[in-house]
Amino acid sequence: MSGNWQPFERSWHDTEVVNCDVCGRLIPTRAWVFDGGEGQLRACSPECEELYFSYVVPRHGETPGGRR
Amino acid sequence: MSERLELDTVGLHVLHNALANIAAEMALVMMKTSYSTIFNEGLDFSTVLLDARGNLIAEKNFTPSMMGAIPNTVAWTLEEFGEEFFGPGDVVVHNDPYRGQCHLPEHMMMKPIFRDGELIAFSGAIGHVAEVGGKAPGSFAADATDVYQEGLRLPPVKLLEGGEHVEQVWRIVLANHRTPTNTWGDFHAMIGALNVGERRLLELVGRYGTATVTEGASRLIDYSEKRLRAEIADLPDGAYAAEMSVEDDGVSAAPFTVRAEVVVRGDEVIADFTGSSPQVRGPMNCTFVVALSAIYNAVFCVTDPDALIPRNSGCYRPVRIIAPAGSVVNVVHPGPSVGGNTDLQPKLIDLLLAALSQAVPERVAASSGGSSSNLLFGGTHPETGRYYSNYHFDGMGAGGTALKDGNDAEVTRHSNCRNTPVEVFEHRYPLLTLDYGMVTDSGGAGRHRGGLATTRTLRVLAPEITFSALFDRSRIAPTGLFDGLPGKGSELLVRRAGEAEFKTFQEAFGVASPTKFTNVVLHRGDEVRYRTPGGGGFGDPRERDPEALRADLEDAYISAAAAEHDYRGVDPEAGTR
Repeated sequence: MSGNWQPFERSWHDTEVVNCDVCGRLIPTRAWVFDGGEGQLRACSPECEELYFSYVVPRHGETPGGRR
Repeated sequence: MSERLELDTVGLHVLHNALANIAAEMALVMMKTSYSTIFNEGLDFSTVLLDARGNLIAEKNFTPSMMGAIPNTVAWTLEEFGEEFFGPGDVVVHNDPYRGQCHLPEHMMMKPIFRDGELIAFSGAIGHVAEVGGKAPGSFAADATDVYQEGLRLPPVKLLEGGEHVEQVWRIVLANHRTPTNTWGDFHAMIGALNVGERRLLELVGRYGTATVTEGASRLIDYSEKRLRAEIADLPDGAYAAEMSVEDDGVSAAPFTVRAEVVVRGDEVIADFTGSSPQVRGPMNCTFVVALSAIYNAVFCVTDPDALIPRNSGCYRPVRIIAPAGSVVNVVHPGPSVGGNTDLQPKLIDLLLAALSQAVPERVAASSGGSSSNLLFGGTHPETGRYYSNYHFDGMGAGGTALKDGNDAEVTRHSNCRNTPVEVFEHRYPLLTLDYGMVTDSGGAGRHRGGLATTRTLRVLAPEITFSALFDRSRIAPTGLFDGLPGKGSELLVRRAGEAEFKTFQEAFGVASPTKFTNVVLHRGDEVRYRTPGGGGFGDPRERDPEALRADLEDAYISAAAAEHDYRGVDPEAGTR
């Protein structure tokens, strides 16, 4: 795996939630950030990096700029 | 001194049954003590035990639609707030659709269970609270365009702290629900279930020891994962795609599309919803966990339909999902989602089973009615002078399968709920049930026909009542499979007092959708008649067993005309083809 965990800096009154760029799951406090080929992607886990390279890229191509 | 429990096959079986029975007893507490018919009659809830990390270890799953929410809600709350957030006697409530809930009415309550100061587990209860505020009585605004119109949204907050009510939170909740007495009763039914779960689990660890129970639960999760992976590995590898149109979102008349590709890859399944429509303006969007529940449901249907594998987090590990955020299968703030759970989720299951029919045709079903057929109403009861509100649903037809006809009058397969008896319904609400029954010819013809839809006619007995509805599959009927014919679509009609004919709500009130509308005001003597959708047929109708056709004719499940038209070549009299 090429990524690393990066925590969010959020205050308790920030109501925004972040979703995984690969599977869409909620990311509560820290993202697994990796290079998706066309930019950095925020994932919920290293397993999603594996899913991205083993399934998403061969099936749909690279996800640009951290957005599906 | 603890009793010894060997964690061998027998010991694990004993432990599994003990944990499952705790969850079942919790469910009985909710059923027996709740105030609302949706809990004590409809059973629209589930009760669970989870380990200290939020992994599901046992469930009494009345409602499979909640499968995706339960473990994620607890795990995500734990990650967001940390273990130190929870103390003995705390109860946390949470209904935020963007943080792991199915839709706004679904409330998850979780209680940490401590032994000797150590967090060892959670008891949990999740249920559809019948009235949570918002623009429509019953909190089911079919024309909502954002979450704020749907009701009161609670991120994870404590309802009890150290066993005491957190009054400031209760005041906010009760001030924003239209029927606060029911909320008070239903919330305490859930809390009662959590307390029973806590007490029984502590008895269990008192008997066998904390280490044995937690280690055993962990092994059960691994066992379930291994069993389910073995079942998936038996499916043929491949990518199986299907696509479906949904007739409208309640706000616009335009249909939208859901696309799924189910990839079987060794011992895991990937459900990829890429290519589905962007989230819609109305409330037909699913939350992430709803899409997750749908694929769990479909996978369990084709791999373990008799639930022989202990249902816990191990069953979820081999199943992966891609549900793009901002699409109709993963709504983002501030999109509405109340109908996504009840009326898109069953269709997602149909869609996923249609995809899997390419891999295992003998294990799937044709489309179900696919709509919970939600009817909401509220007002002041003329006999009590008190405000009431209710969330009501009726059964529809299930799809035929390779083995049998679809079930008749079944509340959707994602909910498994029960209907409310007419006597209870009329006692509680000022509505007279004029007729209630199954609909002839509503099941799609097939070698195994679709299940029959239901119909009901209600007469308003109060001076005024506010009605809303969220039905579906009126214009796009449930499809058949392998030459089976579609089931009959749904219909909602109204006859104003003194008028001779029933009309659609579009004709009578100018609403945007024939099946989705909000806050229509009806008066004494007005009547509402509706029909839920029937199930799709499975296989060529000409291959139907003549004896089954004869029985259907005798029971008026199908008419002579339909037998002649749809089952041409099958002779029910001679019993030969």
